[in-house]
Amino acid sequence: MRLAIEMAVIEIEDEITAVAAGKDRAKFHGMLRLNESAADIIRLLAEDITLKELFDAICEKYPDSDREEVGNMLGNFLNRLNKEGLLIDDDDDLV
Amino acid sequence: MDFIIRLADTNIGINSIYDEIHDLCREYLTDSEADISVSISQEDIAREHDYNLYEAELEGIPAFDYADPYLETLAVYRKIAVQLLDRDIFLMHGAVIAVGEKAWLFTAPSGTGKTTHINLWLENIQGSFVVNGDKPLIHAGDEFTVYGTPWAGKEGMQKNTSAKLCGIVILERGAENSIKQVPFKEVLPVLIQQCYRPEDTVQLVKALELIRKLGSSLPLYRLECNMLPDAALTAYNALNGG
Repeated sequence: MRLAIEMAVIEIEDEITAVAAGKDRAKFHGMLRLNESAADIIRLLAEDITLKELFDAICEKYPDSDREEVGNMLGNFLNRLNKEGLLIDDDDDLV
Repeated sequence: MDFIIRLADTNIGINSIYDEIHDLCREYLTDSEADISVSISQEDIAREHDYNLYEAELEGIPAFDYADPYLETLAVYRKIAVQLLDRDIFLMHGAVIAVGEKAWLFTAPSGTGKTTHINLWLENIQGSFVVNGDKPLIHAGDEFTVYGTPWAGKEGMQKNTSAKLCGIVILERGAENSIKQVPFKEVLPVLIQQCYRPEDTVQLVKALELIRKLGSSLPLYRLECNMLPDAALTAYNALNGG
């Protein structure tokens, strides 16, 4: 899976914000307000990555976090991206 | 044709295919040497044509078939806006009105009534004038300076001048007139939507950094207003007193 649209990530006013970039940026008019782990996910999704690779990368970045909680957080966030049309899920990982 | 214009204290060489861009920029021509330059190809114009179709499709409205000379003027400004980011200058969609040396930028989605509101200023606030009615340039330095440009929307309201930018006003329609200062976080999405966002991610981040500086440096306001003269007086009294 990967992002359907390039996203620029920047911290503004203590909040991490992602804004659509690239040729298709007009498809997504809004912006995403992210926490640190969600920003990590957005950065990792800039290139093709499997769900397992994504999960492992987040668990490695946050070793003290409960793996089940990471899984739930990841699933919720990916579903949100999918609903917004921001995710390409070629491998049907979210099905 | 080749010519040089001076915008936002920067001399810009333009190499165009059509003459219309020269006519548009006639008040900004200079004989000085160019600091930066832009050159337009037929591909750039074709890209503007595609952008136009694409945006109309996204908005669900019929696309207007603009002529190539007009599309070239858009292509020129797009290229200028990208290059000026390196000089901490960015383009923001909005109408800038000034009184003396102080200016304020009113921004809102198209059709909200920016032009109507600034016309109320012109009619009711002595000494007020429009710096640019649609696409001004802003330099983020020790203070913020706003510049007139030839790209000024349908009405062409603009002046080849600069002024100190003293605040940003998010304009909304309302039955009554009221204005209040608002926190940056509250209006960040509007500011991001209204600034020119380049396609390239690195350049986009630069534009966002300038928005961050703007939002954390200048007072930001939300104005609810109707179309009566009191709307301009309400805004001016609050902005000039603040």
